[in-house]
Parts: sequence; C-alpha cells; structure tokens
Amino acid sequence: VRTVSTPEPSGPSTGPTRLTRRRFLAATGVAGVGALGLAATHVPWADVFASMGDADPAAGILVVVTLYGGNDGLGTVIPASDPAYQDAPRSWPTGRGRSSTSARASGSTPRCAG
Amino acid sequence: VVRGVGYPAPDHSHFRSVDAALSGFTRRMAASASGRKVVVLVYSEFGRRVRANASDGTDHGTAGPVFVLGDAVRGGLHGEQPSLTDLDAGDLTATVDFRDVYTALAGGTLGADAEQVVPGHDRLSARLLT
Repeated sequence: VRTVSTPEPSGPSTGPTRLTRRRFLAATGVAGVGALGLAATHVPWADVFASMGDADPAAGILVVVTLYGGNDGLGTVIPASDPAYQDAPRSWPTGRGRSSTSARASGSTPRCAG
Repeated sequence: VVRGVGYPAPDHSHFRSVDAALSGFTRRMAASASGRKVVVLVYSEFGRRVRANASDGTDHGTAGPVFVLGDAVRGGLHGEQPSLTDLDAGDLTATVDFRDVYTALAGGTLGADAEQVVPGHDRLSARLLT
C-alpha cells in the first residue's frame, strides 16, 4: 500500500500519482477479500481518503446490506417448482411462507412484491 | 442493517420493510448517472435448516439466497434452486459459490482484478452484470 500511495518514478504523468479506488483494491486484494480488511488497518487513512475521491470515473459503488438474525431462504425464495415442496411443509416450521398464486411464478415471498 | 429476519416471523413483516427500503433506494439510484453505478448486495449472516426444530423454528443452517440489485445487474435467478431432498446432513447444498459472487462484484463493480481477489472464481461476472 505504501508503494501505491507514493508517486511512481516511471509513471506517464508528470504530477503525483493519484491513488484511485481501483488501484487501492488491486493492491490490497492480493491475498483475497479476507485480507483486504486486515491490510486496511495499515493504511494511512487520511492520505487514502484525500486521494480516493472520485478519481476513477469508471469505478462503481458497492452497498452491502447484512441481514442479521439468519434469514430463512426457503421462506424468501420459495422453491415452488420443486416436487418435494408439496410434501416438505409438513416438517417445516409453520412460520415459513407459502407461495401465493401471484408470487409462485417468481418464487418470491408474497411480502416481496416490489 | 436489518435485524430479526429469522423465525418467528410468520408474516414476513421484516421483509416488507426490507423490500420497501431497497425498492425506494434502487429507484432513486436509477434516476442518475452516478446512481446507476451503485450495486447493492444483500446477504444474511447465516442460513436456516430445512426442517423445523422442537420449537417450530429453524436452527442455523448453511445456504441461502443473496440478492444483488442495481442498474448494472442482470435480473433473474442465477444458479439453481437448492434441492429439498439432496441435503448435506439436513442442510441445503449451495448451488452458487459465494466466492464467485464476491469476485463478480469486486471486479465488475469496484474494478479490482478479479483473479487477484479470489483466484479461479470469476465464473459469475458475465452472467450477473451487464
């Protein structure tokens, strides 16, 4: 990371090399996603945030939403097309959703109509 | 962060909140060029087992659905529905490797070198993202 945050001697630009999000991720993601957080603890954050900005116009933004509590996938995307679905609910929790006629085509829970 | 989407939730009311929040957010994002670069990944911290436990709930399980939203996302179901009969000690067997999801988003959305993120797991990018 230190190498990326300093000017590259052979870079095409005559000005200081800017650290983009793309280059930051490429540098810290060498050992995988798990290593990204570990590596990030050694980053001079003030320098990183000052230089990241939107320097890379092509970079996207990833928003991660964590559902705590353990979502039951079979009640969310209901496997209505699986023949075993017709028999399985007898041993399923009564709280697990049943696919309504309208939701059955998409297999989604009726509460997720949007 | 949404808490409490596990059982007991007989009417899936928590998902009504999730649905409303994410639908509104993605609609607003789709209205601008900057917003159309935004991709939302929704996952649960753990899955649930197929069969009910003694309390008519479900114990912690393995596989579960992951939702990916955004203008750059190809809609639809990616992967197969998990089998209800071919279980792994009572747990669903995942049909999509989560590392393929991470790699697709790290490469396709954040612009990282997918092969460096998780080598050998760039199998979903072309199908998931435009």
